[in-house]
Amino acid sequence: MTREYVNKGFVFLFLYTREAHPGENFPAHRSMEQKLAHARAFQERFQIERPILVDDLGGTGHKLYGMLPNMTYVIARGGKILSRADWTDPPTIEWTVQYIQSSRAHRREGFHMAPFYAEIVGYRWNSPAKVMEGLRRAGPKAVEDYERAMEHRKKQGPIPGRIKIDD
Amino acid sequence: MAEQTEIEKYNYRDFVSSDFLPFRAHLPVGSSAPDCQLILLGKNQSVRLSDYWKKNDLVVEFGSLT
Repeated sequence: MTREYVNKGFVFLFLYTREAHPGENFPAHRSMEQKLAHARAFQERFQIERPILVDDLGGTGHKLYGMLPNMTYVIARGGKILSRADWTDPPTIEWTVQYIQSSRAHRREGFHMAPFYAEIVGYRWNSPAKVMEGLRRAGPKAVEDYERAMEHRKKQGPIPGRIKIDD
Repeated sequence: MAEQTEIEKYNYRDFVSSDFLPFRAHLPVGSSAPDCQLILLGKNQSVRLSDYWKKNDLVVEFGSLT
C-alpha cells in the first residue's frame, strides 16, 4: 500500500513506541540505545520500507496520541487529524486514503464538497497464531504475561466499547 | 522497594492490558495533530513529526516489535 500511495501525496511512517509485551529477548526499554536496537530488529524482521521514527524513552509522542499499542492516525497536510483508529487495520487505511483522494478529485472537478462527521466500528482480521508468534519472539515471559492477562479478561467479560459483529 | 521512575512506569516490565475507551475522547478528528521530536532510524537524525505533514498527508502507525 505504501508504494502505491507514496507518490500521490501521502507519506507513510511507523512510530516506534514501548514494547507492548516485554520478554527476555526484547525487554522493557531502559536506554535509547536499546530502544533503537529493538527498532532496527523490527525493521529487519518485517522488512519495513516506511521510515521508522523512534519516540523518546519516556514515550512523549506515544502519550500525546493516546498511548495504545497499535493506533493509526491519518493527518492532512497542514496538521489536522482526518481519521484515526485504535488498532491498525490496512483495509481501513487504504479505504480512507482512497476516500480522501476521491473527495479532493471531486472538489477539483467543481463539485461542492460539504464536510460531515462519521464514525465506524471496525472489524480487523486477527490471527491468534500470529499473536503467539510475536509473543514467543519476545520470550517466554511475554507469553506467560499475555496468557495471564487473557484469563483475567475472560473473567471481566467483553471489553468496554467493543461491539461484536452478528452473522 | 525503590519507587519506579516515570520511564520505568511507561516502559512496564509486565504486560498491562490497555484501556481503549479514553481514546475515543482523545484527539477527535478535526483536532490539530500534536507535534513531537523523534529520531529517524538509520540516520540517527532528530526530526519533528510536523516535518512530514507540511507538504503531504501523513499516515502514521504506532507500535513496536512485541
